[in-house]
Amino acid sequence: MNHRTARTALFTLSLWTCPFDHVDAAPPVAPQVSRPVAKRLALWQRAAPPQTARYTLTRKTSLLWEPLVVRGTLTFTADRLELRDDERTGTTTVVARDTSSITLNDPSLPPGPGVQRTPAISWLTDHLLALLTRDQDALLKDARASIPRGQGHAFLVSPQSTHPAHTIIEHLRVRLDPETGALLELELMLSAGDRVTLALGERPPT
Amino acid sequence: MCVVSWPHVPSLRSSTWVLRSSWLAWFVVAALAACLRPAPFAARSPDLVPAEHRATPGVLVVLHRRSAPDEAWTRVLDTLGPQLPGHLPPAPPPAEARLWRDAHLLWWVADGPALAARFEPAALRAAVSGVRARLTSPLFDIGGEDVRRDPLGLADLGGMHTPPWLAVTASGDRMSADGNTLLIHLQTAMPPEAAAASVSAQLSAQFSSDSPEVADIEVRAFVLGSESPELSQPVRGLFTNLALLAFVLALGLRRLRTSLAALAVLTTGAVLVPFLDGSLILALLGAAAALAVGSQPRTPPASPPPEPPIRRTLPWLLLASALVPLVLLPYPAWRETALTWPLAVLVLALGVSLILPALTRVLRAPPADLPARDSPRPLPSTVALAACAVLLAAGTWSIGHVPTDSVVAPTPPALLGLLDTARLAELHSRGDSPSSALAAAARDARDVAAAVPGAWPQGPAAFVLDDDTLATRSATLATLDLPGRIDLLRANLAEQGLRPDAFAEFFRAVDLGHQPSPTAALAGPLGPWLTAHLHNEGAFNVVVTRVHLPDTLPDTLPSQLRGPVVFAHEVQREFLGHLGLALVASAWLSAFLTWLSTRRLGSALTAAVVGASAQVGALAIAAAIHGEISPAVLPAALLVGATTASACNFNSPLGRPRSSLASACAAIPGIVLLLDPAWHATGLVLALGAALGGLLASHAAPALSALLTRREARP
Repeated sequence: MNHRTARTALFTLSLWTCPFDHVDAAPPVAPQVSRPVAKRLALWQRAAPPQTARYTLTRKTSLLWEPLVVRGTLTFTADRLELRDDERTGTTTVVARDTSSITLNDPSLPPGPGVQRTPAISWLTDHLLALLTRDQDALLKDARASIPRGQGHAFLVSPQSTHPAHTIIEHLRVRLDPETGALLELELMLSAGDRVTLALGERPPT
Repeated sequence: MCVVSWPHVPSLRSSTWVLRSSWLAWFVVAALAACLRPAPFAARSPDLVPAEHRATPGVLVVLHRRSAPDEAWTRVLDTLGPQLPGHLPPAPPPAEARLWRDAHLLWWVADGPALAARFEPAALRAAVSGVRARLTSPLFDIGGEDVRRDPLGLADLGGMHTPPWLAVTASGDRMSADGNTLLIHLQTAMPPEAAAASVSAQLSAQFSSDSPEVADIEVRAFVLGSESPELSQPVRGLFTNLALLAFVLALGLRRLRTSLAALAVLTTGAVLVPFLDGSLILALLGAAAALAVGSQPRTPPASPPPEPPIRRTLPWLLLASALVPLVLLPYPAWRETALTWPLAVLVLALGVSLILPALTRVLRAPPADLPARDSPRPLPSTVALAACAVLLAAGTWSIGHVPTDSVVAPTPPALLGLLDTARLAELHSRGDSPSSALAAAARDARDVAAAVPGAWPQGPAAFVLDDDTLATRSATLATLDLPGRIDLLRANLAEQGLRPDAFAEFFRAVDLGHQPSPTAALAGPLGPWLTAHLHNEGAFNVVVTRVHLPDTLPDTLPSQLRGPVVFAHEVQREFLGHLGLALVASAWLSAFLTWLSTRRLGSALTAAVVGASAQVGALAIAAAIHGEISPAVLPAALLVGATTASACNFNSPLGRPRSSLASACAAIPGIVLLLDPAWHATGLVLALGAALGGLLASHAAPALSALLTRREARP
């Protein structure tokens, strides 16, 4: 066997070994979701993640006499979501995988306690980023997805009942554009009764 | 050509009937011992941590959810712990704990000026504006803060946060942040395997035994505190050792029956010393085989010159006294081993010196057919001296630059990121009554937290304050004009559109009439949990507080702290001193015993220098390869010194040092131990020490002995 024959034989052998990698690789285990939820998730995955958008945030809480409404600009890059309120009395919130923060827009005010990496924060961070990156596996990790009653193309993502975040976070409600699947509104419902709604609007003028 | 005879084999004519049949008695006794104690030897090495630093007996059961359904896992989280015997939750039920902490918010703050600054009018206004601003963030009220109970962020000043990577179940057990791992602490002396089996049985009882939920939960258990390393496969280690010895003996002696006889004696010898643990039996077998080889005749026996008994027994004396220096060190387990080791050596000495010759005669085994060679050419005396000096100096320098390994078992991989068991220390606080014991615990925890920045006390001490602290903080709080500041806070809240009523729990907490005293705590919501953590020792009530220590510790730790990690900290500071003391004592013993045998100072000094050089050289190379040095290698290092000193063999009629076959026998246990990660360092020291010792004994010792003897002979 000359050198060329040996090379050919080795090349052929390597080609034959290729299928074995695919045979051995276990198919990814997809979380079990009902058919309506799967359809809604398919709609959600249709749209590209927003890079920037205007938003209106509304918080209804027992701490306030009246609902709090602020407007601002959302910026999303690979693993980082930033919500910058327009008002000086608002905040800039950064949601990232490794660390999240709330920074007051008014630097004269005390910064307040830092955001601890609690189970609830971790769950919310991971699922907010999964929502924006359209990562279905990450979205359904430690979570249950369901379809809420009522009109509109929406779905709910709730922490699993065994997850510590379950005691803080009731659910995350996602409302989608029925045609494009784009995110229209995120609603965070907390167990303490607070309801935070983030309505996404048009892209800001450049 | 050199001829070495069997030095002390009694002739057949002079031997008595008892001596001839002694081999039979030996094997009968060994068979009886094997029947009484079927396990070949204890796999676990002695725990180096002294009794006063051993952790309170306990087992940590770790349950990991694989794919159990939510309902089943929730039931496990909430109900399994209290059903287990010895269950002692490290934390109180979260609702009660929160109630207690929030009700005494101001009392946890030790920094009086910082607390006063938070109640300044401008600070109150700014704090309320900050709360109002943070309300616009979707992360508000999720990241650990709770403005309803603490709008001023006083919990930060009090340091009452729990680590974010752990959560607490309703029963007070800890679970991972993702809720998929549950840690249950059991106050029990049962072994971890039994605890895991008990938990599995409880799970089976809770569900149906063949339920898939049971299989979907992984159960493991770990001993809390120190856990000494053990051979992962002790039987395999012993048999590998014996198999390698048989192979090397057969190759070296070139006589199958002689080798089998030696192996039979060594095997039965291992059975007869059940009081030695783990690696030491392997090391003893190797050393005994080396001495047996050293006593083998190479040719048919010639008439040996008579020798005094002390000379014949010098190698065994050196071996028996090898571990005596351990008596000087603060490791109780090693001290016990130092006392039992000579007995084990005596058994092996009887076997090799009396039983082996009798057995070879019974088997009609011919003498070993070793090729007779001239003694190896010794090095020039200056070179030998320089070699030893370089080994001693460079080895000492090298060892001084290697970190000391901890005597504490590392945190099991299953617990990494959850609970660092290797950093857990304890405080045992006593008192005449439950409340005084709790007060003492609070005092001890306060002292430790002040002396060790980053220490995290867990347990009852974190929920009460002692009388002195209460008095100090009461005086500080009295200067704050709290009623006036609270009215101002209410007004600021209303100005910003916030409802003051939503902060009612905070306003209740600033009522200074409720103090977190031990008596109040015992009568409050935490009472049952606190009572469970109290136990009696004689007339005293005792509370155990676990303290998680940071990675960086001050040189001196508070005297109240105890635990394996505290002992390990002391060892890390003092180990090099311990090592030096042991090596000096070992060298002195070698020199003294050699002098007793030879009555030559030169030989004595040579034995000490060559033995110490081999010890230090082997330790330095092993430490360089292993990356650290540990008290666990001390016996191996001492054995290397003793066997090297005996290998110099000044008593041989021709002054012939140890053969390479004997060195190989001594190195085999090290090679076997190298295969076990837990004993890697010990194996390295034994194997390298045998090789280095053999080289030094054959090439350097004769030259050194000649040099020192010449100087000794000069007037």
